[in-house]
Amino acid sequence: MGLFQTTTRNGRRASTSVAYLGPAKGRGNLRIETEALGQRVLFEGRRAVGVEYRQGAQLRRARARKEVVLSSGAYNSPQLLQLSGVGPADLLRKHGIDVVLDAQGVGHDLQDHMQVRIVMRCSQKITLNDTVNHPLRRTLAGARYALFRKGWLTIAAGTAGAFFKTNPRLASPDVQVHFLPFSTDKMGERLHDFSGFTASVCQLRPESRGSLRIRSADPTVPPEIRINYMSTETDRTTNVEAIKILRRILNAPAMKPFVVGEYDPGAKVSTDAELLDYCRERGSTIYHPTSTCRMGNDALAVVDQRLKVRGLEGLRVVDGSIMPDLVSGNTNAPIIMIAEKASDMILEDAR
Amino acid sequence: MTANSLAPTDPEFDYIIVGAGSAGCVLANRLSANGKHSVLLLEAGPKDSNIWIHVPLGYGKLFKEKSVNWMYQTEPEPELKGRQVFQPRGKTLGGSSSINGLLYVRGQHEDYDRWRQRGNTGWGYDDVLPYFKKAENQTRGADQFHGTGGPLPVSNMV
Repeated sequence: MGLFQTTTRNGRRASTSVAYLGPAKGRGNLRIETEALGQRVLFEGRRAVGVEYRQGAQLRRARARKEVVLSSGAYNSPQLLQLSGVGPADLLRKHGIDVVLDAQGVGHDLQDHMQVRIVMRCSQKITLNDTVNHPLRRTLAGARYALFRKGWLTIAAGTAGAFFKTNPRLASPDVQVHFLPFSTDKMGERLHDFSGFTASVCQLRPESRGSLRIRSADPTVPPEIRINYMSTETDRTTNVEAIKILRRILNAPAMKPFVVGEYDPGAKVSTDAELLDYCRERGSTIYHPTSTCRMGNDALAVVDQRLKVRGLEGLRVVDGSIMPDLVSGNTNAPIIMIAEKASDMILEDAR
Repeated sequence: MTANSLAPTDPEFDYIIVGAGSAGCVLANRLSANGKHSVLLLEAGPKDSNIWIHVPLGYGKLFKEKSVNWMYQTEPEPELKGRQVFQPRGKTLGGSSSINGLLYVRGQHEDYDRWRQRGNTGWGYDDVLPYFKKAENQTRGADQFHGTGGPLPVSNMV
């Protein structure tokens, strides 16, 4: 159990745009085009030689002398490969796309972390709910941030966390807890009008696998995303056991000064069957999709250990989609690591 | 020359990176650093000028902000009573690192060792640790596990 660290500097977000692109923007050898949607990778035979993209009304093309690198994320990288003719041949043909490479693994093995939340009523007016719902406190929080870059507006999606095992025989924790100093019925919606906080469980190594498939040859049509959350018995049991353990933590003596009681799901949900039903009813994502262009050596692996698309030349995938399986934690730092390692490999291969 | 191929007049670059997200921005920096290679970085979304991107708690404002978010939905999930699960994904410079919950967590060393054991030579924990450190500017200071010279600030919450 501990406090999380964040990718921030002096109370401001340090995205990779701020941290990496900011210092590079002025370089004469780097051109950045925004509102430019990749339509497809262009091939000569099995070699990637360029990219076609749409920018406003303009369809543009650019040639890559050395390599094309896809880093569009676990949803858009496999989508773009499929649109480019790299994917399951039957799917591509169905949408009238010429097959460059029949690669059944593209879009296969999608994984994500599921999240199940418990909301607690807090006995002290110390939560973000209390600040957001109180005009004076809200104004003061805004002023404090504007003046000092401190206070509520610097809060990340989780202030404290914990890792635990649902089974003592496991070699390492299989559940992560995020503590949030606010509460809401649904993420992205308004906060409760009472003092409340949230704690959630997240099974770290789900067995469930899903898929990503294009729905259309039109790049602007969102792909068909199937995660198949809790589709194995282990995943269902782990979620139920995790909630039971989290409830013990939330009702521990050290929490007593802060807790009125559990608001959601509340005392009406107590048996294993009721807890599983609650997971089905309310389980959502913790936003970590990966593994749709998995690295490996088997028939369904999409990239090799240098992140080159197997069976093609001049094309790599570098993002969370290459994870052989989902890491046991939040995905942003590992994805940045993957890009750092890939950069070294690309520059080595350029020599 | 068919409509499907490149024309001699099309611009040329050494590398084209598709997606200026958590990974693409790192690549764009590193591949252009020595000045020897030309790089084109394509991003489907706009510049990251929405002010809520830069305020940490602003992620709540961006959760359903379609100008910077793909706002995907899953298909009906069979084990979740057929519900669709909302999938916010960043669509701006920085990608999801511009709209996420900002947490810096690496996972477990066993994760990477498992990758290596499955045949992914070069991806064990000892192989990837130097790249976590290279990226990092850890405000608690450098040690065996953390770096301080990198572009990515990693801070305690203030």
